[in-house]
Amino acid sequence: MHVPDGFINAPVSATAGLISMGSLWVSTKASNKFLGDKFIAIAGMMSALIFVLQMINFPIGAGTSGHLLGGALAVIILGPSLGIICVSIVVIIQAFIFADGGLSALGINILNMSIVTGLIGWFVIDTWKKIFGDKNFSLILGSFVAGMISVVMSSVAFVVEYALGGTVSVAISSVFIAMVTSHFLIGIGEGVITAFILSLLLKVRSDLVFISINKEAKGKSVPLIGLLLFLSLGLLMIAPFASSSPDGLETIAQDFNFSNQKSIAMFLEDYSIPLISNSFISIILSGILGVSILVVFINLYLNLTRKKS
Amino acid sequence: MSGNHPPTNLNTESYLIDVAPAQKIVSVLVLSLSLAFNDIRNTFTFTMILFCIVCFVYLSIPSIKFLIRRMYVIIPFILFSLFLPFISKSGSVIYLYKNIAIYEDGVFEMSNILFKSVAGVSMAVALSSTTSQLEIIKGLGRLKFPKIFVSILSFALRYISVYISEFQRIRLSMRSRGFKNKGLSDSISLAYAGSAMLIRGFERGEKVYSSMISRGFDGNLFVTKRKWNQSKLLYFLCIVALITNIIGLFL
Amino acid sequence: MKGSLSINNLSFSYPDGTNALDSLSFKVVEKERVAILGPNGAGKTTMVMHLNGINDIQSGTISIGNEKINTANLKEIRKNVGIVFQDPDQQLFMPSVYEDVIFGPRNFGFTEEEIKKNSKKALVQVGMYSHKDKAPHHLSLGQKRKVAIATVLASNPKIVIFDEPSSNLDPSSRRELIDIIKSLDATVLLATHDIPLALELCPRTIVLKEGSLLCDMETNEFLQNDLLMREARVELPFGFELHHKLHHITNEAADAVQHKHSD
Repeated sequence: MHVPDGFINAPVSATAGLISMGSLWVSTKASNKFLGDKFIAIAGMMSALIFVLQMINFPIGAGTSGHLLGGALAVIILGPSLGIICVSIVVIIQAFIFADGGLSALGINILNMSIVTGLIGWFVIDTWKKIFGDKNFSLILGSFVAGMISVVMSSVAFVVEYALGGTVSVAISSVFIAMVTSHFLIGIGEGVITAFILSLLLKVRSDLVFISINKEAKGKSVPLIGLLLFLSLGLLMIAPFASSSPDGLETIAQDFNFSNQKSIAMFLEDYSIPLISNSFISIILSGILGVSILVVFINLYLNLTRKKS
Repeated sequence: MSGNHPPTNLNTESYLIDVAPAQKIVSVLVLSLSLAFNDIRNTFTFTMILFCIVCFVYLSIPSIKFLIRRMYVIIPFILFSLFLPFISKSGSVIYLYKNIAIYEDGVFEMSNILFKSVAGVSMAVALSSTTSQLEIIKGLGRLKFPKIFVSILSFALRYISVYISEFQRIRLSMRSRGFKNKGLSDSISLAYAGSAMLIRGFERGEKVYSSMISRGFDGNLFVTKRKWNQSKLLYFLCIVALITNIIGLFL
Repeated sequence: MKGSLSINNLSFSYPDGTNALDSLSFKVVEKERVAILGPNGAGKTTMVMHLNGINDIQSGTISIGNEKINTANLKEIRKNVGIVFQDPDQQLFMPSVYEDVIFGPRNFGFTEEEIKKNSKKALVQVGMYSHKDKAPHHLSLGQKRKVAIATVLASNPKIVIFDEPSSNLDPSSRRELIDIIKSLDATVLLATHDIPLALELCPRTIVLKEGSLLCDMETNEFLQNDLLMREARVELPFGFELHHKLHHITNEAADAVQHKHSD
């Protein structure tokens, strides 16, 4: 989802902006090197295409639907540098021309939706290819995994940004569970669509697909960065569940210096639901509450947009 | 964000149409960044900046209805913010009705989100209703956005409509064969349509490149310049916002 | 650079091994108008893409004017050999008509004055000057085709090559296209399936089949040769035959009458 103005504070937004600019600069240099003069034409076309592909809606149950983000797909087909550039271009177009995503949050949106998805998607598919070989079937399966994980990690990235600089005092735990669980569902859809698009491409024009062309491992640093990103975000994801009590979340919150910390779990407890003695279960319940809220939002939002078309 | 974007028709009544896109973009950036990074609790700063924003938006849009129609992108966030007074439990408590309590900090957070996201969208709408898509991109170029990105952006804009009509044609032929997007398997058929388009996209990219080199392209990009007006009012609004920010630091 | 071209033993095969061109040779003199006919896949477009150096020459030579195409003179060649591609969306990639038309001249190093003059002249020649600030996707197919021609004319090429210029055009746009091509002062190559177009515009026809030259003769003669036409997988449009044969018969009858009177 595109983050609007006002959700994330200035230092975090600015840092995200700097990271995005740096990554785009590196990606541009790399793409220029391997595509040469063709770079501009191909990048322009593919960005336009990804923009249009993001209009593919798929149902994620309960009458709602998600849409393709395309980060993993872009890097699988175009390679890490070009893929990241194309999705970033789409985000820029959406921010400046279609009022989608706050301009103060542009750095964050580019980071979450193109850089994180791109790097992690690339890391997953690259590793998968090394482990399971590069036969079509293996690549297709790998693309499903890449698509799914990239979307989930994108939401974790948002939670990290929120933890570091969120301007509202909803508990990180609730944001975390709400975002990650809903994006888990969207991730499955993304993975499925990515896999199917890739399967047809491999059948018909495999010479166009970056991952299936056996190129020299030029950007050895790329999967490495992807690995680091994956590990850090992954650890953040697992850590709350690894710790024996939900206090794990609170310690993480304190580490990030997030002072206002009220849990929806307590909200439920105040209303003395008798079954909730274990606060871990209450967190799950608050998560479900969060997801339901989001599903309602998504439903409303999509209903309103459907009426427009 | 799925592609149900509003029509981008320019508001010909606004005098801002002839103002340099670069200046408009800078104004939008200065104003939205100022607002986004201030808090409603700093009432003076916030109000001043909000006032500047309202001026800019008022000069750009034809009507409030025009603006509201384009706000659907932030509706989930607006709805979310309405919950905040109830769940952000800090600050003093205000009892609304019997036992239902809202919290002061939550009210401030809600207002922050409401004002900031609405203002942000309004300014983006103001920009896109007084500046054609292409001029926005070129304005970015004048602001030292890398030339290569300006070119890629203008190509992307140029070909988005081509791909949308191709996609629509594919959807039409699918529908005329009885296809309805009901379940996941139907979405998969759309995915196949997507891959057909991807292949064409590549080939088109190569063909456009052939056209470019046929007309002598060798890597050098040119950007054409046009004569634009400068708006003194926009300069004034930006300066007010910046000064307010500085004053706000000391209040 | 003169507007003549000469292809000598040009051969080309694709990466997957299929032969596209097989020892093709022919010459065209300045200001000549030549139609290039042949079934789909005969190699017309592949050959055309050699003429401005987009396709690298694998074997054989091509000379434009008196200069052989090589890596050093590509820009000069491209200035003098303009190709109007079949798909105008491929050719019009700039945000506005005017910017597309000045794209070529700017790259070829014309001065600002020349660029302005040439682009105005080219747009007026195709009748699209009033649309110069429009975005390409707001134009109809016929208009796009005309602008595509202008983008090529703006560089004052000595040779203009058209790849299927009349496909999908409505009759009035087609007539406008014919008028534009007639008004050109350059050598013209016209790759097409549109037989009446070839007959109206080009006195000479080259027919390609499976990458090699089937025949090279007067258009009139070719269209009267049923055997050759069948080999080339070409046929006259319905109703055209009758008129043509009638014309032929009328000429014979007129000759016969003349002879009778002169006896």
